[in-house]
Amino acid sequence: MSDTARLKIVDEAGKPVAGATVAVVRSSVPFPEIALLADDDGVVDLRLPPGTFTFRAYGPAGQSGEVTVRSPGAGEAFVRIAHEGER
Amino acid sequence: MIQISSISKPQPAAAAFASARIAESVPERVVTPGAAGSGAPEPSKSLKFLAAKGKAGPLRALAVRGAIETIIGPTDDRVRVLDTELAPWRMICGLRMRGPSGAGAIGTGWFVGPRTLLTAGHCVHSTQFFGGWASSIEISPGRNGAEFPFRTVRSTRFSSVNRWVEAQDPDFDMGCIHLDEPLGNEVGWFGVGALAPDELEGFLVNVSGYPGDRGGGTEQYHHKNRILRVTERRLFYDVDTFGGQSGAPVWVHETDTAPPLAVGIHAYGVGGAVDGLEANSAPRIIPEVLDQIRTWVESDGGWPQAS
Repeated sequence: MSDTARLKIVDEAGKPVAGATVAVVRSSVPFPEIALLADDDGVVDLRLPPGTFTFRAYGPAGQSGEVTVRSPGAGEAFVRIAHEGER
Repeated sequence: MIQISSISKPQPAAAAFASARIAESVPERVVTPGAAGSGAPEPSKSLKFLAAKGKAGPLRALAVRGAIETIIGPTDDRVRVLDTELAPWRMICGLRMRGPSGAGAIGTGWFVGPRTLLTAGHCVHSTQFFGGWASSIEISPGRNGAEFPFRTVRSTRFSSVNRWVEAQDPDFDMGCIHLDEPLGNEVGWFGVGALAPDELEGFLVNVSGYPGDRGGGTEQYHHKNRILRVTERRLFYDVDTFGGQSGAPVWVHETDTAPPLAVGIHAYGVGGAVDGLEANSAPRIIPEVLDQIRTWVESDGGWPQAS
């Protein structure tokens, strides 16, 4: 049983960040240690097993941000990334 | 004992490799040959100063954690490897995977033969990330930021085992990348060992790969610590890793002067633990896995004959 999730990586201005890297940093269930790459629209699509997952995204200029989603019901989540001190 | 068999990504022509059943009665402690490759022969200073060798007590106590995390404890102790053009670092490759939809991902792989790399199963086949088999993987041995000391090659031929492809069982999360050219002759390849649990207990393990949080998967990072637990099919260790290091080699040096010997395929920095133990983990190289690796290497032309 898995649920579709869409993460959209955006910068401080709300613009999509193409090529951002995204990985799970905390989860309630086992999760493979892969890093996903956002497409040209800043989007990462994946399927999640039931559980809670915290994703951290990194932009090409070193910005970062996190979002926590729960599956099932993850839907679309935005990850706003910024430089440390600007978050 | 659950038996595994090889499943290869279907090719446009005839299937590249036949399925292979795994013999159960392979003796413990079997090892495939390693090689340093024809690249620069000087010893790596990073290997001298970073790599853990032999057995010891824990380098650092396990921290108490409220959730399953990938960086273990209050500090991130990974160290960047800079002399990646030298062995064994050059045997470790940054991977860029693409799925059929164009979805991209970062992982790590390592040479086990002239034309054969090992990685995590989910780097070659993932229902979660690719909806099945990866379409293509770019392989950059010893990548060091913008430097590609051994160029980048591309493959579309992959294999895994039935228990990963059909059931996504973390104990069987292992995959293989087949190359057309023998790049391993240049960079070398790891020896791989199926060590018994009592042999593995207390060993210091090394994990080095290409994380997504530092350098966006372009820089190689290493960390080391003690093996915490050995189960029938998994190794658990307290080593800092991050997403993108999936598929990295987990290796030991049996003595101060012994060459690296891979004993696991890093796959889970987050979760996958047993009995409440929260640690990073790898499918363990056991005799039947080693036999499968041998079959994959032989299907790619095998190792050079010793003269």
